[in-house]
Amino acid sequence: MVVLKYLFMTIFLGVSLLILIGSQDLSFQNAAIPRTAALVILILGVVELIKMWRQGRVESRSLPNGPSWKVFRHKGLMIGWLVFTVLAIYLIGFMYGIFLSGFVFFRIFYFRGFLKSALAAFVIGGFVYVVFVRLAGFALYEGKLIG
Amino acid sequence: MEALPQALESIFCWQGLTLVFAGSMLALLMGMLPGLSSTEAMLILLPFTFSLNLSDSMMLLNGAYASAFVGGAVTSIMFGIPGSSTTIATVLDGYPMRQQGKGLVAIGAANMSSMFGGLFSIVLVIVLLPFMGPVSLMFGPPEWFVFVLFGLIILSFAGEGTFPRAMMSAALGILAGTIGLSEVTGDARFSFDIAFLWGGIPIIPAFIGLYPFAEAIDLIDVKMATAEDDQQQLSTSQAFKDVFAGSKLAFKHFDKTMLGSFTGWFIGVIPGVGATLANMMSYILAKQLSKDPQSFGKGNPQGVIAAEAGNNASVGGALIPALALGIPGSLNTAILLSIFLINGIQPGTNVFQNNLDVTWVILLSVFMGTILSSAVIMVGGWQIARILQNLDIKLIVPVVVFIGGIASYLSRGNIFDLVISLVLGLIGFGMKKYQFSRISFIIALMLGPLLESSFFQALSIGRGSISIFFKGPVVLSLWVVTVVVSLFFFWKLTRTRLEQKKG
Repeated sequence: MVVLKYLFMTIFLGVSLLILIGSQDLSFQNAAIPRTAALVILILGVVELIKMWRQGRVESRSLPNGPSWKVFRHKGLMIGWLVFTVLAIYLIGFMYGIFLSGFVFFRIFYFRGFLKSALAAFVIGGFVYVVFVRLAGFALYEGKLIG
Repeated sequence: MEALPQALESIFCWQGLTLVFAGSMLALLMGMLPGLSSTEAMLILLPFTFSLNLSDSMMLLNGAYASAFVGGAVTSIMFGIPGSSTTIATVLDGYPMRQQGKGLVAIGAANMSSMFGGLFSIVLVIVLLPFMGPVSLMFGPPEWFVFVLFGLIILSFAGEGTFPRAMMSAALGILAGTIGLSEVTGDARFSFDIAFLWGGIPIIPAFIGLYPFAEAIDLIDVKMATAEDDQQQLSTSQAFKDVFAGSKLAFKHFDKTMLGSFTGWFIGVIPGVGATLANMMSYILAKQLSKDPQSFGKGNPQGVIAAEAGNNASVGGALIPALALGIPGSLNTAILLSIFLINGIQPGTNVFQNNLDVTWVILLSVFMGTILSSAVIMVGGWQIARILQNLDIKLIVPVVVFIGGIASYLSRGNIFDLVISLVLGLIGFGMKKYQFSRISFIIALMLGPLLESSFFQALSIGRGSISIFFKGPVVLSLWVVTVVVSLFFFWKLTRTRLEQKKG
């Protein structure tokens, strides 16, 4: 996905540009290292961007049909699942969050069936409970809604 | 010298040996799974260390650290797919050997040379131990600054991805390291008035994000190896005979074992370079110095021996900058150093003055871990790789994410650290996909504050003059080494590019 490649690089450059502009009010001690780092990113990033663009032109000539969005469906789902997991843990805590997101994971990516997915999530949740809570004695986060 | 008996006592008891063995076994299993490595194994073990004291934590983690590459070698040989990037060169001759029906001979050779390389490197560290304390005392702020700079430049040349992208990653790591309260002035920077960012980007949640979380996104599409099972079915006694015959090869070609061990150890000492280069460099040197270089890549056991001795010898080498100076020589030593920081110990000179027993525990547990993992492979552990190949790697993904999440939370007891892991997980996935260097980022994140504070401390010692960075024999030697090594890598890079253009 060519757009994503450019987007990723642009974020790099954007952040460093913001730092360069935003560090104007900082003292020398506070700004010297971040400004130097931002400058390094900016210079190298622009060179890389030009290189990518030139390479992209050659590739687009040799590859008439570029990769489709379908290639990224799985990755997109996985990223979505990670975000969901963190949100679930934040809201309902580690134990319930792990069970819920484990269930969603197995429903989407593995067993697909309701019972098998629930059982697999229960096994993982049980493992976490036994090992971390019962054996190691950690107090895991209980969630914003519950704790 | 009472530190050594103390360390021996804590290791050679049932609890100590169990911890080393547990760490070792997990790293062995993880190493056998393509896409996962000892780094993930160490990160999975992290939450368990929070309930252990520093010595016990070190035993558990160093057991994993020592067994880092043996598991990867088994997968490389059996399936032609590197278990991790540190065994890339092992595939070149290991897999052809397997295709010739000598897979177990290759595993035996890899295992024995790995063990030798690992033990040799630790013995070398023990020999150098008395000198490390005085050397670390020679380092003042200007020396620290140049040394960290040296590490980051070398990392950019020899680490993951292309040089500009690795350099950009290192700069981004330094930038991320400046988030929060400044060590120099105490002012808050780039924290957007968010309280939990005042402490900066915490190292362990950053690790969890950049590695297990990013790998989880990547692993979801990985198809497990389906290499044709052309290996003849051997009887158990024949299998043991083959492994034993392979082990003997490591001694038959002892010059290659030693060459790999020395090369790997030396590369390991250079901050940030690590085992991947040690594995490749040892292989290349063995090939170039061989009387029959044409046979390399076609199943020459000498290639397997040199490559495996090389990556394991880098384990001990990387401990030198980590223990003496507190500079991580590799990703795994960076995890070890973060445990020091969690326990309130500033790595470097302090470790020798106040925590020598922990230094001995580290060295002895790496020593024991190396022996234990090799013994397991020797008595049939290679069979585990076959079993693991039938396991769908997708099943591992949620376990890695959940345990990583727990480690991220438990490191400071702050739920927002999980958010940091998530954000860095997404960035880490992008970095991996577009060939940016995650290792440069994380090591720069760790060393950024040291770089900044040593820069300003040196400036104040020199009363604002930058000539302080060019005064004194140590700092000048460091500049010379930095320039020479950079020129060498630059020359190598240019040569490779020219060859590619010609090709």
